[in-house]
Amino acid sequence: MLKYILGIVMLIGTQFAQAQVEMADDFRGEGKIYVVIAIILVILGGFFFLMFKLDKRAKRLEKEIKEK
Amino acid sequence: MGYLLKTDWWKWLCVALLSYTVIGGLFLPVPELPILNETIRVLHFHVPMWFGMILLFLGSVIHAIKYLRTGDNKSDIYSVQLANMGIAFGLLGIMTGMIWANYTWGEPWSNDPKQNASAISLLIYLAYFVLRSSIQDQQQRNRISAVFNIFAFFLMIPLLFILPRMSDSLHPGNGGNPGFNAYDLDSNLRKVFYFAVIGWTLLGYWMTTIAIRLSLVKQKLEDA
Amino acid sequence: MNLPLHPVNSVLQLIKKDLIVDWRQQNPITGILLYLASTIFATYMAFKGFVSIEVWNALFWIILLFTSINAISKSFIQEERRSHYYFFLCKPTEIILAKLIYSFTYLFCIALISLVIYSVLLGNPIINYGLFILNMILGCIGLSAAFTMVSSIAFRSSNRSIMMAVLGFPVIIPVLILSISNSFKILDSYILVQIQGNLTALLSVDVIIIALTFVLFPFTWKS
Repeated sequence: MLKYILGIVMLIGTQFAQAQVEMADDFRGEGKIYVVIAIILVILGGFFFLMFKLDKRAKRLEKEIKEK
Repeated sequence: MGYLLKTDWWKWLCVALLSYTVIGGLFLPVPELPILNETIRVLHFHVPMWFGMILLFLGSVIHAIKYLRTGDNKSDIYSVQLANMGIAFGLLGIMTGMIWANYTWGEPWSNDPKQNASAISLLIYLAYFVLRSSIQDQQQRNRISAVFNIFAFFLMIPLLFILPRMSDSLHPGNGGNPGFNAYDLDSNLRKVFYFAVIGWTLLGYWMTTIAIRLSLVKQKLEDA
Repeated sequence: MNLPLHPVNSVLQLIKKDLIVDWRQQNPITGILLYLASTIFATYMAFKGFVSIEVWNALFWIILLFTSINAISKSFIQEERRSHYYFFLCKPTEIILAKLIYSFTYLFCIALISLVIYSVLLGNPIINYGLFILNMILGCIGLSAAFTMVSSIAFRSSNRSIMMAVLGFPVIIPVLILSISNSFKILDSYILVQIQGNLTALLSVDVIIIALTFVLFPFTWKS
């Protein structure tokens, strides 16, 4: 009985250890595909930011035209 | 619906090319190289930012020359907005490059000549905007900033060519690094890469035209 | 004096005028020389003991860079009150030619003086004086021409001294990188044949700068 419990504990332990090793490597795992995803997201984010800026300028212009 | 059909053809081209870039860039098989792994696909997203930046700056310079020849305010607006978008492309290129370098070269900034050259060209165009804000008289501002734009752009070109040759670049394909260069760019990569460059640049140009139209409307409003 | 002068003559006259103005005021020249001496002395205090050839070379060019930006920034800024007067008298190309020649000579003299002070304090690893001076001349042409043009741009803005640095430093980098690496190779006892290519690269950057200056200067001058 004790043997089984110990075995399970050890199994969990080793899995923990493995998980800890791989944790920092998430972006390096699976052929580093996450790096590609992060980069696409950054570019999308940049373009969205520019869109919002344009939107703001258009709103301001609309307001100015209304005031005239 | 009618508008969507009647609008400029190149806007549809941009939509098509970018859709193709995302699909083809993520699904087509790529060469299997150590260290790079799947990040080789970044070629279709990070590298076009640099090409786009240079092309947008080139557009900005062409309009600056036009301004000096004609003195037309419109050219000045074109020049400024193109430079603005070029800076945005450059910043995106630097940011994505730093993310990529962190997982392949091991650190975000490794004194790579291409990184340095791009940082310097961004500095030049940021200085351009500082210069513009420090001159009050409008006509003088337009003319002096156009002069600086041309002067700096033509000095940036030798920089882009000299700096990478002075020392080995860490970039893939340079100095014995695994990867691709102009001669052995893999045919599958090539199938997407050129279209990606055109697509991203068109997207930048598209957004610039909107900014230009807003500026023109604003100017009309001020003149009226 | 109101008669249109022969181009060569008027360029000479303009150079002479700059010389006389600087000689009479004296204050800017003494200022620059003291600036040079104190910068070199400060670097000597900071770096003595661990100056390798690489450091020696890089420091020399950095000192030259800062001195030249200070020395040349005055070339248009001092013209404020007189500029209207020339505008009727000379063509812009004549004015810029005179300025380029004058600022190159000025910078070259400063570079020689700084080389003397620098090598007295921090040692002198130069073997091949001819090549070193040749590279220094090419570097000085680039520095003086680029800063003269930038000075004529910064002259029109409101905070000139800061604009001078902001606009000048990114623009000067190609010249600086080429001349630093060339002079390091010369100190590392390369011979002419080995660095011919790099010297031509530096020369062509100089030519680009000067050509751009001639094309663009007239636009900054008229206002």
